[in-house]
Amino acid sequence: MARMKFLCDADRCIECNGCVTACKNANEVPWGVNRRRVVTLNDGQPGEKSVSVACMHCDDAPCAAVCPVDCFYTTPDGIVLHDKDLCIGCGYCFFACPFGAPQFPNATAFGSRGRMDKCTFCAGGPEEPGSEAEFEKYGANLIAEGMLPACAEMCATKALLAGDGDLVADIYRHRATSRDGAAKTWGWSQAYRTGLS
Amino acid sequence: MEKQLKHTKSRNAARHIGWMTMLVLVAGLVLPLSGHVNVAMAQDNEEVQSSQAAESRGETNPQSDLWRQARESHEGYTAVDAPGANVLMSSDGETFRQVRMGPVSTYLPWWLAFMVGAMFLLHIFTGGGEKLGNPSGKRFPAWSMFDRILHWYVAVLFLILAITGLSLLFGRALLIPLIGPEGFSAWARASKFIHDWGGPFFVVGIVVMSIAWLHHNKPTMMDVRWLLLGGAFGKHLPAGRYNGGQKIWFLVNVLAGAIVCVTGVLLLLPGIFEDRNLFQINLIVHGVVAILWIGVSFAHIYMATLGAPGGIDITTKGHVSSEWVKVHRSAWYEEAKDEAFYDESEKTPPPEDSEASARTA
Repeated sequence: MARMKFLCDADRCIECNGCVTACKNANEVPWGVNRRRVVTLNDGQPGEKSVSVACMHCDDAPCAAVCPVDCFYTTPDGIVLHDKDLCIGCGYCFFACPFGAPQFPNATAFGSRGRMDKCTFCAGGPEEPGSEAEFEKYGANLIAEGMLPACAEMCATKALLAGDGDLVADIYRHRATSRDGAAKTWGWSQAYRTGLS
Repeated sequence: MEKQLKHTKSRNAARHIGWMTMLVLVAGLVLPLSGHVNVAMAQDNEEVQSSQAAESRGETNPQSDLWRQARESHEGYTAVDAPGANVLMSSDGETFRQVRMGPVSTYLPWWLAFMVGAMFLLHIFTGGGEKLGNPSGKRFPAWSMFDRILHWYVAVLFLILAITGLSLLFGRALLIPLIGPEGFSAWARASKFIHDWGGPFFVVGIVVMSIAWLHHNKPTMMDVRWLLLGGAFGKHLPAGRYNGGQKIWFLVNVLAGAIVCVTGVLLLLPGIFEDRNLFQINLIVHGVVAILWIGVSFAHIYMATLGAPGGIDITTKGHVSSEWVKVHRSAWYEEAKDEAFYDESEKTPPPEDSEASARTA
């Protein structure tokens, strides 16, 4: 069984925000909610690096651990999804997540949180795959259609890779061996507790 | 005999040769390894020296620096406009998770169980307070309508917030198996709503109570004696209008109230106090102090009901029987004798138990 993973090659990312736009377009996420973002470190200085970051679909996800209503589940593909019908909008997942992935639309004028929204690896949610209810709540289910997440598919420089972790690692290893320097597998050790494999 | 000796000698020689061979083999295997140890140690020293030299020259790998920055939650630039969005990775959430799902979820339920058990044992060993009745119909005025309303306003909100708050922390473990994920989700959503909207009203109650009852709760030597000599364990020691235990309960309410209310208000407005760390610490402190507080409240509830029956009249009727005052608050009895009044309708016969009546006489 494939273990789905994201990898952003910081030597290729050009901070075009194409992934962010592709995500918003494919999933039609509400205003103010960004499932994916690009962060640039040392912006404007020599050696600046950009990384596209979203939910990393962790092995031992902190969001799932702290959720008071236990609304998270991991698919056989290793994708971390959640059930919005169970979510109560407490925000604990946001405070536990290392990557700032969970997003909250404003529910009321007092700024209370609506139900959490996050990257689904374009794998929808617990509703019937491809149904209107699924799209309404979770966005596109490209995985069910045999495709990969829109962000990585859209990436012009192929910096953002998504798919089976072994294949992603092979592609990246091939790139790294033909390049100088050490591996820049940002976020992998935090999310997957393993090396490049 | 000679033959036998010769035989032994050759056997000894064979044994020696065997041992020598073993020794040579072991040495042959082990000695070359010492080379590895030497080399490894030499390399370690070199590595330590070279890295120390590099550090002392202020040289680090620029690419390592970048990833170190990412790991240490340095702020970068992002086009997304949201608090904390410009940070790639932060580890504080992991600490929050470990503390909340570790000690907080593991040990605090034991504190509540300990307090329930302690009250149970106290009741078994002391037999609870004696039922005094009110044969004389003589009453001592204690609380105004304002005091009574304030007490029950805070008490009812305290219980509501305790039940909803505990549901949010322990419901996943305790209630999901009972009422299922959908049922618990509905209850948790209601709990969150009630907790969020009840909180501000509770804050008002705690503040008013802390100010209104402060003058009743100055500690005296009588309170210290009451506490040290076991007033809480069924001994009738002299006490004023409020005993040492009640004054400690008041102090707990003021201190725990301040902490729980301040952290609660900060948690309620995540849009204004947009700080991950602040929220994480507040959530832990809020839960820990609130649960300790709930545990102490069990003692208050026991003392006001089974611990000293009859005293609850103060919070419902505003006055209390002179028999109760004489037994439980002897110093106040002397002090406020003249304020007492008679109410025929309050007259209740002394309890059947002759032993109890004898103690009150």
